[in-house]
Amino acid sequence: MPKLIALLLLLILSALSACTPVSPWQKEAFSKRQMALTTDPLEERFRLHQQASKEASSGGYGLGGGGCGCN
Amino acid sequence: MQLMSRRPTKRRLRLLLQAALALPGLALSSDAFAQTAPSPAVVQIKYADYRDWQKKDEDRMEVLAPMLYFSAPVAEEWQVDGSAVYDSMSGASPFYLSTLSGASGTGIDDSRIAGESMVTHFWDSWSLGLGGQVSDENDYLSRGGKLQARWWTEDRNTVVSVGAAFDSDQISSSNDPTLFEKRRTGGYLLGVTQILDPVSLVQSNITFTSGAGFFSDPYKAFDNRPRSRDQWAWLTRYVRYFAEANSAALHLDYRLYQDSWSVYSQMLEAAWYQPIGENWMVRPSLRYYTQSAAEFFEDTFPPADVDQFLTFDQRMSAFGSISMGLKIERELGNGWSVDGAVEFVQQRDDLKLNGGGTSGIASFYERYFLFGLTRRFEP
Repeated sequence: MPKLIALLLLLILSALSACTPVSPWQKEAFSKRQMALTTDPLEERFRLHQQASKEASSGGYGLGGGGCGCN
Repeated sequence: MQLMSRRPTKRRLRLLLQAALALPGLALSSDAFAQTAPSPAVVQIKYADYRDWQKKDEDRMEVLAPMLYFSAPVAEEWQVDGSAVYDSMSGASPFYLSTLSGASGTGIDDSRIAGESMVTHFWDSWSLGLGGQVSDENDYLSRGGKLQARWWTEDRNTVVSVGAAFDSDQISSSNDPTLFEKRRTGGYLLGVTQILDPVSLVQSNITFTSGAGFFSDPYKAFDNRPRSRDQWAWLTRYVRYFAEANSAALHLDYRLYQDSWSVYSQMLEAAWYQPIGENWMVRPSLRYYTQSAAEFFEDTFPPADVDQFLTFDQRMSAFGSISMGLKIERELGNGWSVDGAVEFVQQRDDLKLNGGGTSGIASFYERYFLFGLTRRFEP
């Protein structure tokens, strides 16, 4: 798995380097709130905690955030 | 003017660019940029009403949770953010498989208080954040810290994140006063956020978490899990803008997961943000999740050999789940907004993609409501 991930990451990075540069004046869409990766921090935290307490897997979204809440 | 002329050319250019971007319609407040500069202050409160059940009529847990979040820029180059939650939990959790009678099935009444905070300093092309988190229940205490560095290209189209976190947990049990166990966990993150074109961006994160210590559930029968666990998660998020659909946005998340207990999982989620008129936003969402069973999951109770690694925990079985959600948000003016969300989850053996586990566990259902009030302070 670690080797696979390293390979995939390399592929992503090389794909990203092929992107067409976007100029600051072309970024109006990114000023919209619905375009943020996290549109609602508390909702995201609540859902991730809930999912982690009912499923065997977690991770990917960020770091830390301990606690059990595992009933 | 004299002061200005003493500034290095690069800084002057940046100020000029910032001034140009401050023009209406060009303010950079989205997340890709929130990563590269302090963002405007936000205060948010929410209230969650959660409950779950099985077999349609056997109630399990109920959680009521008020939550608070804030984020604020400080002295131009700093950002402080934090959140707190108080969970009030009651109900029953299975003793083994779906059986509610037994140690934890006799009724749980517990509360959890948790909080986290982070302070981030921004420089021209990178930032460094230092944070801490704590979560306290009467039988579980978790404390930790984290460090996160970000670096971005001059055009701010690419952001690379690297992070490390450490958690130290103390576990006890209200059923067994002699139990006092510990667990230490290290977590690492490597991520890239890339603006692909004027309407879309992608983020790809890999997290690796390595824990050592007590992983068993003291409230479940014969639960005996390995004392270490390594978890890999690879998450890719894609966001696309649709100007022609009244500025709607599509969010797609896909996560691939594997751990040292032989749990494999995949998750795919789609959400559509649809603005309606000037002040409303409606967001339907759909999530699919599937996992394989942990290698020590058993479904024959009682077990023949209790000395080996064992769990009868439903969450360690193989299953699939489908979640459907709907959120409605209303702008009230002057930076205020209210929102309400509902999500319904069903977790079933026959929804899984891959094998293992057991079909002998009852289908499990969850639903929650979230009500929120947000105040945004535009600069």
